[in-house]
Amino acid sequence: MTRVLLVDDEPQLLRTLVLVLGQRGFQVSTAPDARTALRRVKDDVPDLVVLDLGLPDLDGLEAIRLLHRDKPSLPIIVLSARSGTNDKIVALDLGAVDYVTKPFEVKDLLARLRAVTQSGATGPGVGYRYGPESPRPNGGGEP
Amino acid sequence: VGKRGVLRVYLGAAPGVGKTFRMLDEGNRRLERGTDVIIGFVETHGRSHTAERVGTVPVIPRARITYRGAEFEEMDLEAVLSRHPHVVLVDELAHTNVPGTGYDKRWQAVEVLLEAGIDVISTVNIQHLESMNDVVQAITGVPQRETVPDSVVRAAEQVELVDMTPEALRRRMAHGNVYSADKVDAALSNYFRPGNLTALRELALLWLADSVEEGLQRYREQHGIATIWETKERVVVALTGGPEGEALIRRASRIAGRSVGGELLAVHIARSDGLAGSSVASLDQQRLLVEALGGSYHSVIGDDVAEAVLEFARANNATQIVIGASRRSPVVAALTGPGTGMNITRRSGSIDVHVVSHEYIGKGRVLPRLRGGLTVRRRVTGLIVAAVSLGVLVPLCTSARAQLSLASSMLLFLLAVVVTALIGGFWPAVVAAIVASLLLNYYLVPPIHTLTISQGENALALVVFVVIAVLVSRVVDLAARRNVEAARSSAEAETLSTLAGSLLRGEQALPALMERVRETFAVSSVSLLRRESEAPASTGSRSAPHSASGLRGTWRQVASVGDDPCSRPEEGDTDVPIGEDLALVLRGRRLAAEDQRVLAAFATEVAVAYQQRELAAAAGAAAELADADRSRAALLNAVSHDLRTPIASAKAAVSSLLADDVEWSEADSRELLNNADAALDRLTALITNLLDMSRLQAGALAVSCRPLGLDDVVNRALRSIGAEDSVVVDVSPSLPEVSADAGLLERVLANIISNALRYSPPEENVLVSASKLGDTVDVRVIDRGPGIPRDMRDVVFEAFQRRDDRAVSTGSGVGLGLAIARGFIDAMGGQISLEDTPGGGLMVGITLRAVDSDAPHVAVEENSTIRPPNVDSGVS
Repeated sequence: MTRVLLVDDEPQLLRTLVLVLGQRGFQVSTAPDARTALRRVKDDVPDLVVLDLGLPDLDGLEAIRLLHRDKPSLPIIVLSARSGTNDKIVALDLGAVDYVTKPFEVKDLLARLRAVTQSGATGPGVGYRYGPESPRPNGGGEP
Repeated sequence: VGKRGVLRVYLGAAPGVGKTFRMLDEGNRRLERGTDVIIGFVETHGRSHTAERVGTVPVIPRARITYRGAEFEEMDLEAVLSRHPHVVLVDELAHTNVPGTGYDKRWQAVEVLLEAGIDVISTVNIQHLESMNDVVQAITGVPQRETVPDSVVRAAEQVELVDMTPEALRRRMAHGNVYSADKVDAALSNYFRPGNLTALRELALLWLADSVEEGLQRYREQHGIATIWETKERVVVALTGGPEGEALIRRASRIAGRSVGGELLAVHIARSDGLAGSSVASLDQQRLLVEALGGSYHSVIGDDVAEAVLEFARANNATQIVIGASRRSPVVAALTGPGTGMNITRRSGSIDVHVVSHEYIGKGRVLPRLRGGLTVRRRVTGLIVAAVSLGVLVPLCTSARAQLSLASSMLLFLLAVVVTALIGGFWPAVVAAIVASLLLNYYLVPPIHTLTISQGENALALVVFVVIAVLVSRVVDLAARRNVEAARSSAEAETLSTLAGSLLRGEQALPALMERVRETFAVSSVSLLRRESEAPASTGSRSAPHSASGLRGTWRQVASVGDDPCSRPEEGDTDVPIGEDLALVLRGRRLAAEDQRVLAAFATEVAVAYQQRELAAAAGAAAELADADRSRAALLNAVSHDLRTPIASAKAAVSSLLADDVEWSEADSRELLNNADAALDRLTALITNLLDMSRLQAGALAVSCRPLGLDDVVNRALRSIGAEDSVVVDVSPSLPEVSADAGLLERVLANIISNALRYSPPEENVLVSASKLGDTVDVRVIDRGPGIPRDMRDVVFEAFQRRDDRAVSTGSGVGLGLAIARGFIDAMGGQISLEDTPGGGLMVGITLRAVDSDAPHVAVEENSTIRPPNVDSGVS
């Protein structure tokens, strides 16, 4: 199972995504702020992090930097209400693999999660597993 | 019992400065030295740092007195007396005893101890001194019920000030070293405002300075010391009644104000011959000014002004004398000897003398006039000289005709004419020459006593005489003219150079420049007019003065100085067009042609200054717009961000429910629906706040204030955020009602309380308390969270700010909470403030007007208010 860490300070969104991603075969853990997220990642490295930028303790961009300092190959998808082009550029430059703007389509987010887990963006030492129930609409490009 | 004991008092400006602490230190120090010290009564107010200081000093157990069913502790006077130590420590001199101890006041018991020959060390706060009672009440709004007569403290052998800056005391307070958080109420936090503390500290310092001064005075009297010891400044200002007096008084008042308790004394020396050299009206005005500045006005009679001023100053122990710089010109001063100022300076001895420059030295210069080289006065003087000298010469020369040749007589007459020319100029000299020639002819030229001339040589001499006289007088007159012209040129040059300088002074340039025009040309008003409409300008007719009136178009006054300024060019006596649409208009007198040249230069500069001002204003407006634009963009950004967040939650939940590829269990769909619902609630709250904010900013908030019971409103606010169980409420139903809008106040409280809950650590309680102070009621929401740094406290009340720069948080909104709270409270006529919670945290205080309290409310106040001074020394 792909293990996903959701970092967001919106409790309703966290609860909803836990349900939705759980249904699609992801193993989901959550963190309400950046410090908790950093601690989680240190203890048990997930396959993927979905990160909000507006966190109560740290700016999300700073959180990306810190996460990558600890785990350089950890794939991070940003899920934020900040819609400015500049935010997207900075986040991607800092090493985020994708950027989804709130409000978002659940299907869209799921597709991007799949894309990341399948594209090999996860680095060596981290490893990834297929989501067993997830269909693969694109099919190709798989080893 | 022999010798009376010695009293030492520690005086403090406010509770918490460390008086008891210092008293205990002193007790311990003396104990170590082997003195027999005991504690009669010490109140530590639960302050652990103070309690530690008791150290090894033995404590006399307190007497327990039952009064109206309650038990009180007081100093056991009998026990102290029978123990009869060398020194006893007795806290709080102003304390009021519970009835039943034999003495109303603690200071009376202390008197008994002193009489018994026991030394007493005690403490007192400045607000408890009787003479300070009304002042302190005016400053703090808290009446003082416990007082000690000043004489008791003044009679103390030693009074030591325990001083602390208001900032340090407030820090001590914030750390919780003075009072614990649950003791804080409206009266107390009002008492500890920085302004109050500063005022109280000043009172304490002044009181002590005064009593020290008294001691010094006594010492001087006892030792017959007559020289002045500078303790505080006594400033004497000498007035002439001239216009410079006001400036001198203000200057002297500033000098006096520099030292604590400085005194201002104004003195006018009236000549004993009664010759009034001064204006009674302006002296009257200056007297009023002196009194308004807190000084005293004196009039002294004396012939020698300098000596009279000095005598007055010495008699009043003055330390400084302020006099104006002389208005006499250096030449006059050289001729008439040293002036009053010089004499005062020479003979002042140990008193400092300030010779103050004032604007009446050389101000209001008028350009020298060009008409005629010489003044009328000089011409008349010339004629008089001519008449006198000729009158003397005629008898002199006729009687000495035997000794003097005709040529010598003519030379003497020529001398008289030349002198006349030197003094009176051309016309008096011509007159003198003609008269002199006639006199010579009649009295001295043969045949004598006729106007006929027998010898041709004599006729030639007479003609030459007249010609020389005329030529000399012509030269003298020309020289005088050149002189005036040179003076005028240099005055013009000086005026223009100061004009150039004044332009560099930025935005004040325009009025300063116009004032200079007014002074220079000695007119009553100067106005700058601008033509508003775009009427066709006939430039040709505008070059001459007074032609602007022929133009059509409305004029608007854009700047003016002086009285009764003109609003149209034709109203003025002189107007100078500047370019197409500006005109400088002077009223007061018609300017001569030669003045217009300088005026034109001024006019150009005025126009430049005006344009500069307009450009600066435009730049300012542009900057303001840019600022507004930036904040609008930031707002839009913040709002769109905050709107997206709950929408994202709701949409994620709902679209997941709608997805047909997943079968949700009953519980899961319920959960998703709940999430969507909660997110939509947040969205609603955010939009409500935004609407409120825009209503506030547009000034469209409907407020209907009516009397409200605070306990009801607080309870409703708690219910609305579901926080009934997580907040400790201390709001008495017996408080007077407040004037407020129920809906708005509830929203404000809900907002602030939920904020406090969010930031407070879960193990600490949030406290809501209310108390009455004067005719207001104070609600405080006290949390133990991280607080808000002092420098941020103003910022957080501005819209769209949030603590720690949290761009997004779980909160309901873009940092609007406190901004809206302040907007609502302002609209209700109340006040909102942020303070430190003692021991850490934030305390939000809301002050609301109490509804006119009727009799029962007064009674409630009398019985229930905690009075901060009494917290230190109270019966309670």
